[in-house]
Amino acid sequence: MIHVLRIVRQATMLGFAEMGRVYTWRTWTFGWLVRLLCQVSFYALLGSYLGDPGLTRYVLVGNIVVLACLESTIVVISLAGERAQGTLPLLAVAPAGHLPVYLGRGVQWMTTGLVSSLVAWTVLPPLLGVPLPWPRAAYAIPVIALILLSSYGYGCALAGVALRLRGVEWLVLNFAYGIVMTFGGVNVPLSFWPAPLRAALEFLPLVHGLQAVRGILDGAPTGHVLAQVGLEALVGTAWYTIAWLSMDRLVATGRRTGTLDHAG
Amino acid sequence: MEAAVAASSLRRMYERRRKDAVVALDDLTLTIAQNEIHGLLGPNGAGKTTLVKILSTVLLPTSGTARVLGHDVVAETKAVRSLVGLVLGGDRGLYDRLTARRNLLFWGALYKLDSRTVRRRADALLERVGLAERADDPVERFSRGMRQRLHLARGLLHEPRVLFLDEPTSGLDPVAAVAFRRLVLELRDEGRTFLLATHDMDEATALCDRVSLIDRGRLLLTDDTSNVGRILGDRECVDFVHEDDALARDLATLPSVLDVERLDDRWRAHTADREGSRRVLAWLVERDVLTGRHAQPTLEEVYLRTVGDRGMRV
Repeated sequence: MIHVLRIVRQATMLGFAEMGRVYTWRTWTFGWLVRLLCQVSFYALLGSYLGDPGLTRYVLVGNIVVLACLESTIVVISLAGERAQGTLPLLAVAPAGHLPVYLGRGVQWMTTGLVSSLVAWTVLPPLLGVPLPWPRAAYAIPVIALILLSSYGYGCALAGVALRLRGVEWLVLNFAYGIVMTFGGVNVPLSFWPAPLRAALEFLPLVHGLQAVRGILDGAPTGHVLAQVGLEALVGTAWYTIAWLSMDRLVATGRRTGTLDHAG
Repeated sequence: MEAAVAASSLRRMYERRRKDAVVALDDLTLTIAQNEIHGLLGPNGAGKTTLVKILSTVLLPTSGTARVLGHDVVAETKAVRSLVGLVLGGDRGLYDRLTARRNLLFWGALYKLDSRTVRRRADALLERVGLAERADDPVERFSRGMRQRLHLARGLLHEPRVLFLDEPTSGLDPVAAVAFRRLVLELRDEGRTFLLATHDMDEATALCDRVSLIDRGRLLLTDDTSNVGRILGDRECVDFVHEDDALARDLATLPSVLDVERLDDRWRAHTADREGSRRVLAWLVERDVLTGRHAQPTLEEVYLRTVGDRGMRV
């Protein structure tokens, strides 16, 4: 177990070092973060434009919370990079195995996801005239952290696809995020969708967590909130399991077909 | 003593969509003794890298067996992985954004080394490969030679007994290549075994105890590096320098001479045996040509004659 933690720690440091290739703290703050805040404001202002304060809050909360999912799933890009860098075969034959590396490889995106959503959570609602019910709103923060974790598992599972089909990592990332953004109850209530689709949406990350967040803000019974939190954790665990199996199979297949070290 | 590497009837095929399968290794049998530096020579696409990958457990063989220090590479992958180090040539396989030291700490964790051990070994290896002063620089600022040395340090981190080096000096400048070879010899003196896949003949001649030539996945020959020249049918030759073509023509008429050929900077007379070479040398001295010397085909000549008709085909 200790060596797994050591690997996760090293992989996390690698992730932050690679993030430095994309951002400095200035470009992240004044570029990426501002862009995310504008995105959230854009959707929330559509609600205001329609003159419906309830809709404004619904969209605002959904778009803030989905930031956690958006950033966590960027792990798809980090993991796909292992093939392009030629490190995948070396990871595959390391005695500790390649799987622990993936747990730490995108921690930087979870961190920025947490910061982005927390900044949005505290700054945007009062700015847009839809203040959240504090201190109750603080209880939603651990749920947002849980969404970060479950979305990370979702991203790791989809990275398995990106590693198999070379050069599609950005497509996979945008598709993964787009599905959650469109169907996950962010802008449109789940009840809007037909029943078969609603059943499928139960397996997406964020869906139950977002319902828990809305429940906290609306003062829903604790049992309802905890049930949604539990389902979110369950969905996240399922995605981690899929990711685990998918990555293991990727390496096993790669050893058989000789495709482990093909550059992406 | 158990062989460091024992491959038997090893075969590897690559399936291709809507095309015939490619045979990368074909019935290859090879044994490498412990503490040996074994050169694996062959043109591009000969199967060198495929063999290295199978032995280091990156790739599964289609059929046949391979054992490293007695452990089967398919059935006992965990045991094999802790015993071998894999050093790939080229720019890939390192994390560019990390420093050299951080790269080693990362891989040390993957080899289950505790923090203190990996730090100590990383420092010692960086010193040994001449990167101590650049230990805290990101790898993206490293030259090709520095990357190669870091690759070797990474491969040595868990103190493997057998090292597989795939084109380790490709792209290195001559000074760096010589330093690299010296390091390999030092490591051999410490008891390690090397399989060196290369098409650098000078490197193979300078480093290897034995060499194997492979082409199109087949093993063409295996022998001591010093003996390999005798593999060619015309085992004896005499090299000499002379300006006059007529002298060479006269020499070719001697009964003991098979033929005389013009090399870049000298002539070469091929003889049937040692006595023939002696007669040629005496004949040259009688004509005041004192540059003659007994020679054997070099490894490069053996290589070119054995696989040389391929040109750029792979």
